[in-house]
Amino acid sequence: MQIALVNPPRSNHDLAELGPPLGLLNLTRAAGDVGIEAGIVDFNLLWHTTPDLQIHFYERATELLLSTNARIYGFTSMAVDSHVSLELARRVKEANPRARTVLGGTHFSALAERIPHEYPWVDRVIPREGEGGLVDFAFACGVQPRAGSPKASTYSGVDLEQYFSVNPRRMVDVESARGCRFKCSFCYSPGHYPQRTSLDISRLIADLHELRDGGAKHFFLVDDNFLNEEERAIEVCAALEAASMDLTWHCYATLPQLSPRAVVAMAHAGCVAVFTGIDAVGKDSQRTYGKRFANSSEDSGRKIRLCLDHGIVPTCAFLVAPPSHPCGADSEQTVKAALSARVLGANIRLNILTQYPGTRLASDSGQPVEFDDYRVRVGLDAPAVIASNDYAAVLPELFPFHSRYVPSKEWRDFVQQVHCLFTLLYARTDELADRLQQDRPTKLFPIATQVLEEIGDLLRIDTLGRRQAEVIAFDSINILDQIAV
Amino acid sequence: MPKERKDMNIPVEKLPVGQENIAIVVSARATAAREGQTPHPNKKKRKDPNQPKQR
Repeated sequence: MQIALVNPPRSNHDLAELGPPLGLLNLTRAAGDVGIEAGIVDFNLLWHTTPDLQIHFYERATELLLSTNARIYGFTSMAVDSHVSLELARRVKEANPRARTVLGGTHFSALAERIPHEYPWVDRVIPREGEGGLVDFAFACGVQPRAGSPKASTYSGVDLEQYFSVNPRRMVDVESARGCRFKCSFCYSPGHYPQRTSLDISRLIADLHELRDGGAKHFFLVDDNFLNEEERAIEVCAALEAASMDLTWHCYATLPQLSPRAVVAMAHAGCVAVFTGIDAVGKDSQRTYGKRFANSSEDSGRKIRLCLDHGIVPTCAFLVAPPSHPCGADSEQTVKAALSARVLGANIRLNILTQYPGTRLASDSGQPVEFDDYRVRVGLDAPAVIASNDYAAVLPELFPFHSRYVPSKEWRDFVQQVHCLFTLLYARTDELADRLQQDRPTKLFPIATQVLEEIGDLLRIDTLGRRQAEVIAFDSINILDQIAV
Repeated sequence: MPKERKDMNIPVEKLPVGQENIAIVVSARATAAREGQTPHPNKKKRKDPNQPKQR
Protein backbone atom coordinates (compact mmCIF):
# COMPACT_ATOMS: atom_id res chain seq x y z
CA MET A 1 0.00 0.00 0.00
CA GLN A 2 1.10 3.57 -0.56
CA ILE A 3 -0.30 4.97 2.68
CA ALA A 4 -0.65 2.96 5.89
CA LEU A 5 -3.11 4.49 8.33
CA VAL A 6 -2.58 3.37 11.91
CA ASN A 7 -5.06 3.09 14.77
CA PRO A 8 -3.47 2.45 18.20
CA PRO A 9 -4.88 -0.12 20.64
CA ARG A 10 -7.39 1.45 22.96
CA SER A 11 -9.85 -1.08 24.36
CA ASN A 12 -8.86 -3.84 26.73
CA HIS A 13 -11.91 -5.49 28.28
CA ASP A 14 -14.79 -3.20 27.29
CA LEU A 15 -15.46 -4.01 23.65
CA ALA A 16 -19.04 -2.82 23.17
CA GLU A 17 -17.97 0.07 20.96
CA LEU A 18 -15.16 -1.60 19.05
CA GLY A 19 -15.60 -1.31 15.32
CA PRO A 20 -13.75 -0.31 12.15
CA PRO A 21 -12.18 3.16 12.59
CA LEU A 22 -14.43 5.50 10.62
CA GLY A 23 -12.05 8.46 10.53
CA LEU A 24 -9.31 6.37 8.92
CA LEU A 25 -11.81 4.75 6.55
CA ASN A 26 -12.81 8.21 5.36
CA LEU A 27 -9.14 8.91 4.63
CA THR A 28 -8.74 5.67 2.66
CA ARG A 29 -11.76 6.63 0.60
CA ALA A 30 -10.44 10.16 -0.04
CA ALA A 31 -7.10 8.70 -1.13
CA GLY A 32 -8.81 6.09 -3.27
CA ASP A 33 -10.86 8.75 -5.01
CA VAL A 34 -7.63 10.16 -6.48
CA GLY A 35 -6.07 6.79 -7.22
CA ILE A 36 -3.85 6.50 -4.14
CA GLU A 37 -3.89 3.15 -2.36
CA ALA A 38 -4.32 3.55 1.38
CA GLY A 39 -4.90 0.78 3.91
CA ILE A 40 -5.57 0.58 7.62
CA VAL A 41 -3.55 -1.20 10.29
CA ASP A 42 -5.97 -1.30 13.19
CA PHE A 43 -4.13 -2.25 16.38
CA ASN A 44 -7.34 -1.68 18.32
CA LEU A 45 -8.60 -4.83 16.58
CA LEU A 46 -5.30 -6.67 16.27
CA TRP A 47 -4.67 -6.28 20.01
CA HIS A 48 -7.50 -8.79 20.50
CA THR A 49 -6.82 -11.12 17.58
CA THR A 50 -3.01 -11.29 17.70
CA PRO A 51 -1.96 -12.33 21.23
CA ASP A 52 1.73 -11.70 20.56
CA LEU A 53 1.00 -8.00 20.28
CA GLN A 54 0.01 -7.90 23.93
CA ILE A 55 3.42 -9.22 24.94
CA HIS A 56 5.80 -7.38 22.61
CA PHE A 57 3.64 -4.60 21.30
CA TYR A 58 6.10 -2.06 19.93
CA GLU A 59 8.41 -4.64 18.35
CA ARG A 60 5.63 -6.62 16.64
CA ALA A 61 3.64 -3.55 15.67
CA THR A 62 6.67 -1.93 14.07
CA GLU A 63 7.46 -5.12 12.14
CA LEU A 64 3.90 -5.23 10.89
CA LEU A 65 3.95 -1.60 9.80
CA LEU A 66 7.27 -1.95 8.01
CA SER A 67 5.97 -5.04 6.20
CA THR A 68 3.38 -2.87 4.44
CA ASN A 69 6.20 -1.06 2.62
CA ALA A 70 4.17 2.10 2.75
CA ARG A 71 5.55 5.37 1.55
CA ILE A 72 3.56 7.32 4.12
CA TYR A 73 2.49 6.27 7.61
CA GLY A 74 -0.43 8.17 9.09
CA PHE A 75 -1.27 7.90 12.80
CA THR A 76 -4.41 8.94 14.62
CA SER A 77 -5.22 9.07 18.32
CA MET A 78 -8.01 9.58 20.83
CA ALA A 79 -5.70 11.55 23.16
CA VAL A 80 -5.17 8.79 25.73
CA ASP A 81 -3.23 6.72 23.18
CA SER A 82 -1.26 9.50 21.46
CA HIS A 83 2.09 8.39 22.92
CA VAL A 84 1.68 5.01 21.22
CA SER A 85 1.28 6.71 17.86
CA LEU A 86 4.31 8.90 18.53
CA GLU A 87 6.46 5.93 19.53
CA LEU A 88 5.36 3.84 16.54
CA ALA A 89 6.11 6.77 14.24
CA ARG A 90 9.56 7.11 15.80
CA ARG A 91 10.34 3.43 15.33
CA VAL A 92 9.10 3.38 11.74
CA LYS A 93 11.16 6.44 10.91
CA GLU A 94 14.23 4.99 12.58
CA ALA A 95 13.94 1.74 10.63
CA ASN A 96 13.02 3.42 7.35
CA PRO A 97 14.19 7.06 7.20
CA ARG A 98 12.70 7.45 3.71
CA ALA A 99 9.19 6.82 5.04
CA ARG A 100 7.13 9.91 5.76
CA THR A 101 5.15 10.15 8.97
CA VAL A 102 2.01 12.18 9.46
CA LEU A 103 -0.36 12.62 12.39
CA GLY A 104 -4.02 13.63 12.48
CA GLY A 105 -7.23 13.51 14.51
CA THR A 106 -8.56 15.87 17.14
CA HIS A 107 -5.77 15.56 19.69
CA PHE A 108 -2.81 15.83 17.34
CA SER A 109 -4.63 18.54 15.46
CA ALA A 110 -4.80 20.63 18.63
CA LEU A 111 -1.03 20.17 19.04
CA ALA A 112 -0.16 20.77 15.39
CA GLU A 113 2.31 23.55 16.08
CA ARG A 114 4.22 21.87 18.88
CA ILE A 115 4.57 18.31 17.68
CA PRO A 116 7.05 18.74 14.81
CA HIS A 117 9.21 20.82 17.13
CA GLU A 118 9.11 18.35 20.03
CA TYR A 119 9.14 15.16 17.96
CA PRO A 120 11.30 15.70 14.88
CA TRP A 121 10.55 12.29 13.39
CA VAL A 122 7.03 13.53 12.64
CA ASP A 123 7.00 15.08 9.19
CA ARG A 124 3.57 16.69 9.30
CA VAL A 125 0.51 17.15 11.45
CA ILE A 126 -2.68 17.60 9.47
CA PRO A 127 -5.03 19.85 11.41
CA ARG A 128 -8.79 19.46 11.53
CA GLU A 129 -10.55 17.31 8.92
CA GLY A 130 -7.84 15.27 7.26
CA GLU A 131 -9.16 14.07 3.91
CA GLY A 132 -7.85 16.93 1.79
CA GLY A 133 -4.69 17.41 3.80
CA LEU A 134 -3.63 13.80 3.51
CA VAL A 135 -4.09 13.70 -0.24
CA ASP A 136 -2.16 16.97 -0.63
CA PHE A 137 0.62 15.63 1.57
CA ALA A 138 0.81 12.40 -0.45
CA PHE A 139 1.17 14.30 -3.71
CA ALA A 140 3.75 16.61 -2.12
CA CYS A 141 5.71 13.48 -1.13
CA GLY A 142 5.71 12.33 -4.73
CA VAL A 143 3.15 9.55 -4.38
CA GLN A 144 1.86 8.72 -7.85
CA PRO A 145 -1.77 7.74 -8.45
CA ARG A 146 -2.20 4.21 -9.68
CA ALA A 147 -4.60 3.03 -12.33
CA GLY A 148 -7.74 1.51 -11.01
CA SER A 149 -11.16 2.38 -9.81
CA PRO A 150 -11.76 4.38 -6.67
CA LYS A 151 -13.26 2.75 -3.60
CA ALA A 152 -16.93 2.00 -4.06
CA SER A 153 -17.84 3.02 -0.53
CA THR A 154 -16.39 3.98 2.82
CA TYR A 155 -16.45 0.40 4.06
CA SER A 156 -15.53 -1.49 0.91
CA GLY A 157 -12.70 -3.88 1.51
CA VAL A 158 -13.17 -3.99 5.29
CA ASP A 159 -13.29 -7.48 6.81
CA LEU A 160 -16.30 -6.82 9.02
CA GLU A 161 -16.41 -10.33 10.41
CA GLN A 162 -13.06 -9.80 12.10
CA TYR A 163 -14.58 -6.95 14.05
CA PHE A 164 -17.81 -8.77 14.74
CA SER A 165 -15.86 -11.73 16.11
CA VAL A 166 -14.45 -9.40 18.77
CA ASN A 167 -17.58 -7.31 19.30
CA PRO A 168 -20.69 -9.50 19.03
CA ARG A 169 -22.90 -6.41 18.92
CA ARG A 170 -21.85 -6.28 15.26
CA MET A 171 -21.53 -2.53 15.49
CA VAL A 172 -20.19 -0.03 12.97
CA ASP A 173 -19.69 3.72 13.01
CA VAL A 174 -21.25 6.04 10.42
CA GLU A 175 -21.77 9.79 10.21
CA SER A 176 -24.26 12.21 8.72
CA ALA A 177 -22.68 15.52 9.78
CA ARG A 178 -19.67 17.04 11.54
CA GLY A 179 -19.39 19.74 14.18
CA CYS A 180 -21.60 20.96 17.02
CA ARG A 181 -23.80 24.02 17.44
CA PHE A 182 -22.46 24.51 20.97
CA LYS A 183 -19.02 25.78 21.96
CA CYS A 184 -18.40 24.19 25.34
CA SER A 185 -15.05 25.25 26.78
CA PHE A 186 -13.77 21.73 27.51
CA CYS A 187 -14.59 20.16 24.15
CA TYR A 188 -12.33 19.52 21.17
CA SER A 189 -15.18 19.81 18.69
CA PRO A 190 -15.42 23.64 18.33
CA GLY A 191 -11.74 23.90 17.44
CA HIS A 192 -11.67 20.84 15.24
CA TYR A 193 -14.82 21.69 13.30
CA PRO A 194 -15.08 25.49 13.21
CA GLN A 195 -17.64 25.09 10.42
CA ARG A 196 -20.42 22.53 10.63
CA THR A 197 -20.94 20.36 7.60
CA SER A 198 -23.73 18.02 6.57
CA LEU A 199 -22.91 14.91 4.59
CA ASP A 200 -24.91 13.27 1.84
CA ILE A 201 -27.83 11.32 3.30
CA SER A 202 -28.15 9.05 0.28
CA ARG A 203 -24.52 8.03 0.70
CA LEU A 204 -25.18 7.28 4.36
CA ILE A 205 -28.10 5.06 3.43
CA ALA A 206 -26.05 3.30 0.74
CA ASP A 207 -23.25 2.65 3.22
CA LEU A 208 -25.73 1.27 5.73
CA HIS A 209 -27.27 -1.07 3.15
CA GLU A 210 -23.80 -2.40 2.43
CA LEU A 211 -23.04 -2.76 6.13
CA ARG A 212 -26.33 -4.52 6.83
CA ASP A 213 -25.64 -6.94 3.98
CA GLY A 214 -22.20 -7.46 5.51
CA GLY A 215 -23.72 -8.59 8.80
CA ALA A 216 -23.92 -5.38 10.84
CA LYS A 217 -26.78 -5.19 13.36
CA HIS A 218 -26.22 -1.85 14.99
CA PHE A 219 -24.63 1.46 14.07
CA PHE A 220 -23.29 4.41 15.99
CA LEU A 221 -24.08 7.70 14.29
CA VAL A 222 -20.97 9.52 15.47
CA ASP A 223 -22.03 13.07 14.52
CA ASP A 224 -20.84 15.43 17.28
CA ASN A 225 -24.46 16.40 17.84
CA PHE A 226 -27.12 14.60 15.82
CA LEU A 227 -29.66 17.28 16.78
CA ASN A 228 -27.70 20.32 15.64
CA GLU A 229 -30.62 21.11 13.37
CA GLU A 230 -33.90 19.39 14.05
CA GLU A 231 -35.16 19.52 10.47
CA ARG A 232 -32.03 17.91 9.17
CA ALA A 233 -32.18 15.21 11.86
CA ILE A 234 -35.80 14.50 11.01
CA GLU A 235 -34.77 14.18 7.37
CA VAL A 236 -32.08 11.65 8.26
CA CYS A 237 -34.52 9.72 10.46
CA ALA A 238 -37.11 9.65 7.67
CA ALA A 239 -34.54 8.26 5.26
CA LEU A 240 -33.51 5.61 7.78
CA GLU A 241 -37.10 4.64 8.45
CA ALA A 242 -37.91 4.45 4.74
CA ALA A 243 -34.89 2.24 4.14
CA SER A 244 -36.30 -0.41 6.54
CA MET A 245 -32.92 -1.97 7.17
CA ASP A 246 -33.73 -3.59 10.52
CA LEU A 247 -30.72 -1.92 12.12
CA THR A 248 -30.69 -0.33 15.55
CA TRP A 249 -28.53 2.67 16.30
CA HIS A 250 -27.40 5.22 18.84
CA CYS A 251 -26.02 8.73 18.60
CA TYR A 252 -24.79 11.81 20.43
CA ALA A 253 -27.38 14.53 21.01
CA THR A 254 -27.63 17.55 23.28
CA LEU A 255 -30.24 17.60 26.00
CA PRO A 256 -32.10 20.81 25.06
CA GLN A 257 -32.60 19.52 21.52
CA LEU A 258 -34.23 16.25 22.63
CA SER A 259 -37.71 17.48 21.75
CA PRO A 260 -40.74 15.20 21.53
CA ARG A 261 -40.74 15.54 17.74
CA ALA A 262 -37.08 14.63 17.43
CA VAL A 263 -37.31 11.72 19.86
CA VAL A 264 -40.34 10.25 18.10
CA ALA A 265 -38.58 10.48 14.74
CA MET A 266 -35.45 8.87 16.16
CA ALA A 267 -37.46 6.03 17.69
CA HIS A 268 -39.26 5.44 14.39
CA ALA A 269 -35.89 5.22 12.68
CA GLY A 270 -34.55 2.52 15.02
CA CYS A 271 -32.67 4.58 17.60
CA VAL A 272 -32.36 2.66 20.86
CA ALA A 273 -29.89 4.80 22.81
CA VAL A 274 -28.64 8.35 22.97
CA PHE A 275 -25.54 9.74 24.61
CA THR A 276 -26.10 13.18 26.05
CA GLY A 277 -23.51 15.23 27.87
CA ILE A 278 -25.21 17.07 30.68
CA ASP A 279 -21.70 17.64 32.01
CA ALA A 280 -22.08 20.85 34.00
CA VAL A 281 -24.13 20.86 37.20
CA GLY A 282 -23.83 23.85 39.53
CA LYS A 283 -23.22 27.50 38.80
CA ASP A 284 -19.41 27.43 38.85
CA SER A 285 -19.28 24.45 36.50
CA GLN A 286 -21.88 25.85 34.14
CA ARG A 287 -20.02 29.14 33.88
CA THR A 288 -16.56 27.57 33.56
CA TYR A 289 -17.59 24.91 31.03
CA GLY A 290 -19.84 27.23 29.06
CA LYS A 291 -22.66 24.71 29.25
CA ARG A 292 -26.00 25.27 30.91
CA PHE A 293 -28.11 22.26 30.03
CA ALA A 294 -29.02 21.15 33.56
CA ASN A 295 -31.15 24.15 34.40
CA SER A 296 -33.38 22.07 36.62
CA SER A 297 -33.55 18.45 37.62
CA GLU A 298 -37.21 18.46 36.56
CA ASP A 299 -36.28 19.46 33.03
CA SER A 300 -33.54 16.82 32.79
CA GLY A 301 -35.96 14.26 34.20
CA ARG A 302 -38.57 15.12 31.58
CA LYS A 303 -36.07 14.56 28.80
CA ILE A 304 -34.94 11.25 30.27
CA ARG A 305 -38.51 10.04 30.62
CA LEU A 306 -39.33 11.19 27.10
CA CYS A 307 -36.51 9.08 25.70
CA LEU A 308 -37.33 6.04 27.79
CA ASP A 309 -41.02 6.28 26.89
CA HIS A 310 -39.99 5.85 23.27
CA GLY A 311 -37.58 2.98 23.81
CA ILE A 312 -34.44 5.12 23.71
CA VAL A 313 -32.08 4.62 26.65
CA PRO A 314 -30.21 7.84 27.43
CA THR A 315 -26.67 7.82 28.74
CA CYS A 316 -26.14 11.02 30.69
CA ALA A 317 -22.53 12.10 31.12
CA PHE A 318 -21.42 14.35 33.97
CA LEU A 319 -18.12 16.14 34.49
CA VAL A 320 -16.61 16.07 37.96
CA ALA A 321 -13.59 18.05 39.12
CA PRO A 322 -11.37 17.41 42.15
CA PRO A 323 -11.96 19.49 45.31
CA SER A 324 -9.33 22.20 44.80
CA HIS A 325 -10.35 22.87 41.20
CA PRO A 326 -12.63 25.93 40.83
CA CYS A 327 -15.48 23.58 39.87
CA GLY A 328 -14.70 21.04 42.59
CA ALA A 329 -17.37 22.41 44.92
CA ASP A 330 -20.02 21.26 42.42
CA SER A 331 -18.93 17.62 42.34
CA GLU A 332 -21.22 16.42 45.14
CA GLN A 333 -24.22 18.06 43.51
CA THR A 334 -23.15 16.62 40.17
CA VAL A 335 -22.99 13.05 41.43
CA LYS A 336 -26.39 13.44 43.05
CA ALA A 337 -27.74 14.58 39.69
CA ALA A 338 -26.23 11.45 38.17
CA LEU A 339 -27.96 9.32 40.79
CA SER A 340 -31.27 11.00 39.97
CA ALA A 341 -30.73 10.13 36.30
CA ARG A 342 -29.97 6.52 37.22
CA VAL A 343 -33.12 6.25 39.32
CA LEU A 344 -35.15 7.34 36.33
CA GLY A 345 -33.58 4.60 34.23
CA ALA A 346 -30.80 6.41 32.40
CA ASN A 347 -27.28 5.14 32.09
CA ILE A 348 -24.64 7.49 33.44
CA ARG A 349 -21.01 8.41 32.98
CA LEU A 350 -18.88 10.19 35.56
CA ASN A 351 -16.01 11.80 33.70
CA ILE A 352 -13.17 13.40 35.56
CA LEU A 353 -12.52 16.80 34.03
CA THR A 354 -9.89 16.56 31.29
CA GLN A 355 -8.19 19.76 30.19
CA TYR A 356 -7.53 19.10 26.52
CA PRO A 357 -4.71 21.19 25.05
CA GLY A 358 -5.90 24.06 22.91
CA THR A 359 -9.41 24.14 24.32
CA ARG A 360 -10.73 27.32 25.90
CA LEU A 361 -10.82 25.55 29.25
CA ALA A 362 -7.13 24.63 29.11
CA SER A 363 -6.12 28.06 27.82
CA ASP A 364 -8.03 29.85 30.59
CA SER A 365 -6.89 27.48 33.30
CA GLY A 366 -3.24 28.42 33.61
CA GLN A 367 -2.85 25.58 36.09
CA PRO A 368 0.50 23.78 35.90
CA VAL A 369 0.22 20.07 35.21
CA GLU A 370 2.42 17.20 36.30
CA PHE A 371 2.91 13.70 34.99
CA ASP A 372 0.55 11.20 36.63
CA ASP A 373 -0.75 7.97 35.13
CA TYR A 374 -2.91 6.95 38.09
CA ARG A 375 -6.14 7.91 36.38
CA VAL A 376 -5.41 5.78 33.32
CA ARG A 377 -4.50 2.80 35.47
CA VAL A 378 -7.55 3.03 37.72
CA GLY A 379 -10.30 4.82 35.82
CA LEU A 380 -9.88 3.65 32.25
CA ASP A 381 -10.05 0.30 30.55
CA ALA A 382 -6.63 0.72 29.05
CA PRO A 383 -4.22 -1.87 27.67
CA ALA A 384 -0.86 -1.84 29.44
CA VAL A 385 0.76 -0.14 26.47
CA ILE A 386 -1.66 2.76 26.88
CA ALA A 387 -1.11 3.06 30.62
CA SER A 388 2.68 3.37 30.24
CA ASN A 389 3.59 6.74 28.77
CA ASP A 390 7.23 7.84 28.98
CA TYR A 391 6.53 10.83 26.74
CA ALA A 392 4.18 12.31 29.34
CA ALA A 393 6.91 12.23 31.96
CA VAL A 394 8.80 14.77 29.83
CA LEU A 395 5.94 16.92 28.49
CA PRO A 396 2.89 16.22 30.64
CA GLU A 397 0.95 19.18 29.24
CA LEU A 398 0.64 17.33 25.90
CA PHE A 399 -0.94 14.25 27.49
CA PRO A 400 -4.10 15.19 29.39
CA PHE A 401 -4.92 11.66 30.48
CA HIS A 402 -1.43 11.09 31.83
CA SER A 403 -1.20 14.27 33.87
CA ARG A 404 -2.92 15.95 36.81
CA TYR A 405 -3.73 19.54 37.62
CA VAL A 406 -4.13 19.17 41.40
CA PRO A 407 -1.74 17.75 44.03
CA SER A 408 -0.92 14.06 43.86
CA LYS A 409 -2.79 12.81 46.92
CA GLU A 410 -5.89 14.82 46.08
CA TRP A 411 -5.80 13.43 42.55
CA ARG A 412 -5.45 9.81 43.63
CA ASP A 413 -8.17 10.10 46.24
CA PHE A 414 -10.49 11.73 43.73
CA VAL A 415 -9.87 9.20 40.97
CA GLN A 416 -10.70 6.39 43.38
CA GLN A 417 -13.76 8.13 44.76
CA VAL A 418 -15.17 8.64 41.27
CA HIS A 419 -14.45 5.00 40.39
CA CYS A 420 -16.25 3.87 43.54
CA LEU A 421 -19.21 6.19 43.06
CA PHE A 422 -19.69 4.98 39.49
CA THR A 423 -19.83 1.42 40.80
CA LEU A 424 -22.26 2.23 43.60
CA LEU A 425 -24.53 4.40 41.46
CA TYR A 426 -25.07 1.38 39.22
CA ALA A 427 -24.81 -1.56 41.61
CA ARG A 428 -26.39 0.03 44.70
CA THR A 429 -28.72 2.55 43.09
CA ASP A 430 -31.67 1.68 45.29
CA GLU A 431 -29.84 1.94 48.59
CA LEU A 432 -28.34 5.31 47.74
CA ALA A 433 -31.61 6.66 46.39
CA ASP A 434 -33.50 5.49 49.46
CA ARG A 435 -31.10 7.36 51.63
CA LEU A 436 -31.49 10.58 49.72
CA GLN A 437 -35.25 10.23 49.63
CA GLN A 438 -35.45 10.08 53.39
CA ASP A 439 -34.64 13.76 53.57
CA ARG A 440 -31.67 13.02 55.76
CA PRO A 441 -28.76 15.09 54.51
CA THR A 442 -26.38 12.60 52.98
CA LYS A 443 -23.28 13.19 50.92
CA LEU A 444 -22.07 10.65 48.41
CA PHE A 445 -18.35 11.39 48.32
CA PRO A 446 -17.90 10.53 52.03
CA ILE A 447 -19.58 7.20 51.35
CA ALA A 448 -16.97 6.48 48.69
CA THR A 449 -14.22 7.53 51.08
CA GLN A 450 -15.41 5.08 53.70
CA VAL A 451 -15.66 2.23 51.18
CA LEU A 452 -12.16 2.95 49.95
CA GLU A 453 -10.76 3.07 53.48
CA GLU A 454 -12.10 -0.43 53.89
CA ILE A 455 -10.45 -1.89 50.79
CA GLY A 456 -7.28 0.17 50.34
CA ASP A 457 -5.72 1.48 47.16
CA LEU A 458 -7.66 0.31 44.10
CA LEU A 459 -4.44 -0.07 42.16
CA ARG A 460 -3.51 -3.02 44.36
CA ILE A 461 -6.65 -4.88 43.31
CA ASP A 462 -6.82 -6.68 40.00
CA THR A 463 -8.53 -4.57 37.33
CA LEU A 464 -11.44 -6.96 37.00
CA GLY A 465 -12.00 -7.21 40.75
CA ARG A 466 -12.19 -3.56 41.74
CA ARG A 467 -15.90 -2.95 41.33
CA GLN A 468 -16.76 -6.20 43.13
CA ALA A 469 -14.48 -5.19 46.01
CA GLU A 470 -16.23 -1.84 46.27
CA VAL A 471 -19.67 -3.43 46.43
CA ILE A 472 -18.57 -5.99 49.00
CA ALA A 473 -17.09 -3.26 51.16
CA PHE A 474 -20.21 -1.15 50.79
CA ASP A 475 -22.40 -4.05 51.84
CA SER A 476 -20.17 -5.09 54.71
CA ILE A 477 -20.27 -1.81 56.53
CA ASN A 478 -23.44 -0.12 57.44
CA ILE A 479 -22.37 3.04 55.73
CA LEU A 480 -25.74 4.55 55.19
CA ASP A 481 -26.49 4.62 58.88
CA GLN A 482 -23.12 6.02 59.74
CA ILE A 483 -22.82 8.85 57.31
CA ALA A 484 -25.12 11.76 57.83
CA VAL A 485 -23.69 15.12 57.08
CA MET B 1 -34.66 12.49 44.15
CA PRO B 2 -37.12 10.82 41.75
CA LYS B 3 -39.20 8.08 43.33
CA GLU B 4 -40.56 6.34 40.27
CA ARG B 5 -38.51 3.20 40.13
CA LYS B 6 -37.15 0.58 42.44
CA ASP B 7 -34.90 -2.38 41.91
CA MET B 8 -32.57 -0.44 39.68
CA ASN B 9 -29.41 -2.13 40.93
CA ILE B 10 -27.37 -3.70 38.16
CA PRO B 11 -25.18 -6.75 38.90
CA VAL B 12 -21.64 -5.55 39.38
CA GLU B 13 -20.32 -8.03 36.84
CA LYS B 14 -22.31 -6.21 34.17
CA LEU B 15 -20.45 -2.96 34.73
CA PRO B 16 -17.64 -1.88 32.43
CA VAL B 17 -14.07 -2.13 33.66
CA GLY B 18 -13.38 1.47 32.72
CA GLN B 19 -15.76 4.36 32.92
CA GLU B 20 -14.11 7.18 31.08
CA ASN B 21 -13.38 5.62 27.76
CA ILE B 22 -14.95 7.17 24.74
CA ALA B 23 -17.24 4.20 24.50
CA ILE B 24 -20.73 4.59 25.82
CA VAL B 25 -21.66 2.45 28.77
CA VAL B 26 -24.19 0.05 27.42
CA SER B 27 -27.23 -0.80 29.42
CA ALA B 28 -26.65 -4.09 31.15
CA ARG B 29 -30.28 -4.90 30.62
CA ALA B 30 -29.99 -4.21 26.92
CA THR B 31 -26.91 -6.40 26.82
CA ALA B 32 -28.74 -9.19 28.59
CA ALA B 33 -31.67 -8.88 26.26
CA ARG B 34 -29.43 -8.98 23.21
CA GLU B 35 -27.75 -12.08 24.52
CA GLY B 36 -31.07 -13.79 25.10
CA GLN B 37 -30.76 -13.77 28.87
CA THR B 38 -33.53 -13.09 31.32
CA PRO B 39 -34.23 -9.38 31.18
CA HIS B 40 -34.25 -7.24 34.26
CA PRO B 41 -37.49 -7.81 36.19
CA ASN B 42 -38.37 -4.15 36.11
CA LYS B 43 -37.64 -3.67 32.45
CA LYS B 44 -40.36 -1.50 31.05
CA LYS B 45 -42.09 -2.80 28.00
CA ARG B 46 -41.09 -0.75 25.01
CA LYS B 47 -43.95 1.37 23.86
CA ASP B 48 -45.01 1.65 20.31
CA PRO B 49 -43.08 4.63 19.00
CA ASN B 50 -46.15 5.50 16.98
CA GLN B 51 -47.90 6.37 20.20
CA PRO B 52 -45.91 9.10 21.92
CA LYS B 53 -46.85 9.82 25.48
CA GLN B 54 -49.56 12.41 25.76
CA ARG B 55 -48.79 15.35 28.01
